[in-house]
Amino acid sequence: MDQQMIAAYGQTAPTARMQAHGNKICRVAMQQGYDLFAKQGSMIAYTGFITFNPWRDSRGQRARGAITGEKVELMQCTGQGDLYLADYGADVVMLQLNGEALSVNGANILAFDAQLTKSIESIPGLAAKFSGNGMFNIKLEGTGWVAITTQGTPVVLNPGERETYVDPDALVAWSSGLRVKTKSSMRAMNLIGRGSGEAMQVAFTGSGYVVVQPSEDSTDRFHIRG
Amino acid sequence: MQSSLFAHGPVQSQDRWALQNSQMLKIDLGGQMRDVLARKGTMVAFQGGVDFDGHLQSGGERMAATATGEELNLMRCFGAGTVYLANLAQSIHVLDLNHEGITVDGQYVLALDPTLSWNVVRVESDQGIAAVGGGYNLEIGGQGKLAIMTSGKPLVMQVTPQQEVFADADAVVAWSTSLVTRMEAQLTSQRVWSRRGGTGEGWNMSFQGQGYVLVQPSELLPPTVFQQAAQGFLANRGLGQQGGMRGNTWGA
Amino acid sequence: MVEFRKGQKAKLSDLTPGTDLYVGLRLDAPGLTFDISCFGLDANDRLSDDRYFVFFNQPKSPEESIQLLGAQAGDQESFRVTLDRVPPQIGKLAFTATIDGNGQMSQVGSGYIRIAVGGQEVLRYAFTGAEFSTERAIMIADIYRKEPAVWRVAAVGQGFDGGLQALLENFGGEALEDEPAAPPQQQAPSFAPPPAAPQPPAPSFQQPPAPQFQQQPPAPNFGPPPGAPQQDQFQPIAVQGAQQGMGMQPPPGQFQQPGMPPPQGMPMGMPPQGQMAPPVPQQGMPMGMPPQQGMPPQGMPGQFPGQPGMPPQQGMPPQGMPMGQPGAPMGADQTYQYGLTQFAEVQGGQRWTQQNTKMVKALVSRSGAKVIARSGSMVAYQGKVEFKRTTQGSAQGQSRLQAWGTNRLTGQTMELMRCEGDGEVFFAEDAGYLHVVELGGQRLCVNAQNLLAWDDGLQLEPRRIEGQGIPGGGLFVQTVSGNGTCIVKTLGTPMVLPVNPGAPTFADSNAIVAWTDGMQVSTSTAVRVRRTAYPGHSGETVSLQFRGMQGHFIVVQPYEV
Repeated sequence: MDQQMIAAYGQTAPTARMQAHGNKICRVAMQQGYDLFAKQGSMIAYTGFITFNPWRDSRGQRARGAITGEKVELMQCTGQGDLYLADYGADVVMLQLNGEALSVNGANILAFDAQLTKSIESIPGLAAKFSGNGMFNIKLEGTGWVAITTQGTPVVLNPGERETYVDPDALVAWSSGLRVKTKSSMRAMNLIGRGSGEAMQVAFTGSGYVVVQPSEDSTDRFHIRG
Repeated sequence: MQSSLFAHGPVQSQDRWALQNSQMLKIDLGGQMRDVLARKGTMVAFQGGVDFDGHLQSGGERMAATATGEELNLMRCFGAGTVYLANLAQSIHVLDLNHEGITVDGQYVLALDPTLSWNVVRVESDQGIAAVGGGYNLEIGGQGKLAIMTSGKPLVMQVTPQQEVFADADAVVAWSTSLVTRMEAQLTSQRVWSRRGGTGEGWNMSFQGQGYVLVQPSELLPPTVFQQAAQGFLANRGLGQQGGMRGNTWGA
Repeated sequence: MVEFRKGQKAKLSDLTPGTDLYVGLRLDAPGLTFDISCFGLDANDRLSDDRYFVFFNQPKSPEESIQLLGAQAGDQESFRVTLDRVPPQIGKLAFTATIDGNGQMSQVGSGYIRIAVGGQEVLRYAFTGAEFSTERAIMIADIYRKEPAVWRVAAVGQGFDGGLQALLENFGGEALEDEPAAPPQQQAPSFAPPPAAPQPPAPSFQQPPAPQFQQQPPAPNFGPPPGAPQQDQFQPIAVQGAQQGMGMQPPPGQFQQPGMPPPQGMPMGMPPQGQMAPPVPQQGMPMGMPPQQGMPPQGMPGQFPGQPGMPPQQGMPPQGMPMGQPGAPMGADQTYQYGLTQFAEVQGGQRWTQQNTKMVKALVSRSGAKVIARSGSMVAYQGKVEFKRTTQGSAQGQSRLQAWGTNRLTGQTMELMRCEGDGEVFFAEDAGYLHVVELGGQRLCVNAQNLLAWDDGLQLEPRRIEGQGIPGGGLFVQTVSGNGTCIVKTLGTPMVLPVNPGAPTFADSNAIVAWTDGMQVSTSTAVRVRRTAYPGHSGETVSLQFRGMQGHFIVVQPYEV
């Protein structure tokens, strides 16, 4: 193959547990004893010896709806080697949690270290309205790596400056500890939301950050409006 | 008028094939006998006298229908102008081939020099499991330029006799023809990671030998979503089966 | 276009009458990443005001006469320089590139700097690595003034041994290591303040409000938490010793220095040690990495500030280079780094501020600044903003817009909203690329699907271009005019194609985004296109043909919808 191409897009030596290749591929340096949870179907390539299994909870059941709602299933990756993950061309952002907690829209999870504590977080007033619309959240806490996906380059807003309202479809993640509530902008008359006709935003106050993507909900990449 | 848009003027280049940006290819046809084969429906603009001939099949050569009856979506561009090609904002890569063979998924070929030789092949296993989207592949050899597309920045994996490479069949775009390919399924992890329905559950491709494999982050859409959306979407956008959408998003 | 050679100089006005310059740079070197910067120097070639050091962490000068635009049009890095607005104390703009990481300039295959005005390249200075040896930085070209208003340009092409920091010192920039508050965005675990709000660094982190988002003094940020060896950060893949490392790690609370915000305030950033800190021997070397210890801080652009202000803790040498993950400026296609710092909101007092290639922020105010946008294009807002359904413009325009509203072309109702109040609104749609177009009184025809938002007060005239073969039967176009700004969305990186008076320019009707008003536009089914042979939709596609005088252009996107 063309040498230029190889030079430009070839593999590089691993330097961290998670690493970007371009902005759409996440490379994970797998090691025995340090499993990874990844979105099913996100493996695009690997070398070495890696096995993939459905993630089962402690009772041995497939933990699908239980933690991730209806749409996302996770697989447990075990082994040693280089694992490359991507999610249908979404941008990948890698983070390292250091004892902190992060709340991520389930649709935007790509992978995370198995040692992180995970729980479902529901937003009062939102879960009912947006169930089935990807609005379930996974709260991750502890020390380890997380890879999330966004449609397009995200922007990070600080609600500490001013109360911040985010379209639910554009909401990716936020730091735990923010005050979250929903706001129905009646004056907007269905105008501003992208969602299912609800002119509803999620309002954040407090210090922290909110990650916003420049596109609509990633579970439903081609949202035909109207 | 002021805009950041104006940073995107035409690129000046001596090369006949030049990337206008990572998503658009500029080809200077420059007269006789320098025509180019391009994927149908990818012309976004042209300047000067350029003609397009989509009847490659009747034009002879090896334009035989593939085993599935598919015809190649290539057209011949000739004339004395400049053509700009792009397809669904995918990243474009121009390869200079010099007698090393490359096998490319047919959906990802944007343009090629007529000096290249190519064969239509179908990659499938004895078990009837079609690899690589189930479509046709092109085995390309000879000398000349080849433009292929990927969704986003691709990954080039090196295969050596010591290092086998595994990849999701739907994410593979191209590989060195010399590689030994096989389909594999881990018995321990059934039905887990397969990206899409098209390749059979749990199957992935392995590559052995000496060469390279080109993998892309993804196709543009998950097939399920796409299929659900397809009808309304295509109708809305005035696209049909024959449209430029074909193949690239329909991979699985 | 003029090709410059090394050392060549010229008066800029001999090359172009324009003063609104696009400066693009590219260096091709396999495996190397470059930090490309512009230094605004005073009459003594000193960087007396470090707000005029324009680089990835500070993408514009205070009055925005120098703006970093990022990678585009084949350039790895690009700047917009508005010479008229460069303050008089700035006498020279020096464009430089430094290697991020290991490497030397002789590895450069080829590179160039080019200056374009109005989409036309007027100057190019190309060089190769053969002109250099072990240098780690290169001063590529200068734009400097002889007299207050006479600008000249020089191709410098001079190598420089040190890295970015040495270059800074060469220009007399405050030695950054003495200023612990200098922007350590590359590593700061806190959400660093957006670089576009340049302030003298020291005071900035003493401001009490929103402490989470302010720079912290590096010690608490960078310093390994007491008792937590740096290796902990990478322990998940350390084969052995990880358990031990775990045990050594203090509970999160102990990470917090006095005055630090609560944990949720700043969880996300990448502490430097996250970038594969040097493994200590007893942990083995996972992945066969060579130790990175003891790399001197200088010449490590990704590293520069902060470290020296802090005594090495626990005898650890300064952090080594992050391997393979250069602290490179963010380009569209460049490697993302870890963490969220890079995605911080871009502050700016302008009406419209580009956040990234795909998101734009608009300020609305009670004093009248309002914005009209396609409904559904708002992704977030801050402050008190109201959104009202609207039909833009005059009574005549109203009815036409309603016609636009039921656009058969897309089958979707295209509704508009007026954003007013006091706050900031963030626009984006379908992750398409957004472009801020300041009309300056000129007229632009924009495909209705590509027009996302605009200043309330611009005139819009909807029009429908009929044509057999155009999908949907026609193309809806808005002619936008007035003094103000509109936001044009393109799917993929667009191209601006100048129209020549001599030969017509053709564009696929599915890929056309915009064109200047005043051209002759026709559909060209008959011209040279054999419909059955032509690409696309069952032979139904037509091209649009443009004829116009010099100065006209069309905009095409690489995506056909």
